[in-house]
Amino acid sequence: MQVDKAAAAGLDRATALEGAMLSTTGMRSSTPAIAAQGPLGWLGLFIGWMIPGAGFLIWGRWVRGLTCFFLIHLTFGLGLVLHSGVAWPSWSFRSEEFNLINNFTFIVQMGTGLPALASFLASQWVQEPGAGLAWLAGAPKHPHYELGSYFLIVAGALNYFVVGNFYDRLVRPRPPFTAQERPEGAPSA
Amino acid sequence: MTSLGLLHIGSLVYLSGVICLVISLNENRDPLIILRETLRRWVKFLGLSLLIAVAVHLLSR
Repeated sequence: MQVDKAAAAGLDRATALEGAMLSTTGMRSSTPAIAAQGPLGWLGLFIGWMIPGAGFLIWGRWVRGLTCFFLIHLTFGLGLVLHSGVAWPSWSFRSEEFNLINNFTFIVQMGTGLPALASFLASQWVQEPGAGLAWLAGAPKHPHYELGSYFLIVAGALNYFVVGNFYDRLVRPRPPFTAQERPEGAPSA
Repeated sequence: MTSLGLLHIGSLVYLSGVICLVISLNENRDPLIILRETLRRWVKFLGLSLLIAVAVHLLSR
């Protein structure tokens, strides 16, 4: 029993120390956290998937949200600059064009949400290389196309991580994040 | 040919850096800890990549 009390006291001290550190750096939101639970939490997850970083922005995590927004869009944009785009793969095992890697690539690339959807739709609609939205569709025969695809894959995968982190921090807070997300001055227990 | 190789190396450095930064950002909240964790991961990532590059270079001679 005494051991439990001592452990709890130690945890409180660690949490208080962490809270003091965070408040000095301004990374902790000074406003009380809005509960991102229930339908609101799932809506936040969906918005965060569609617009990278937006889930955190809506819930007032400005630095985290803007950093994720900037990094993921920059990476996706660099992929487009390298003439890549999100292409629809063949899903039929019987097709000669079927390649499981392409299917996984598509799924991961779609993690970027709306930018990936825009690129995918452009690749479906744009038929001519010089057309208006061709830059969004990508040019599969361009020498940098494959390299650009890696940028799109990384952008998509990072947004999946960010959405997962949104879930862990705000929708169903997990032990490492409960202390980080606790508003300033709130009791630790 | 050289420019294509440099483009790939530049991409490796950039992409590994972004991955390390986002993972560190996901795990921590203090900017200094995020910076330290990012650099630690980035150095490990690039060091391992360099090791693999040297091994591939030696084995393909």
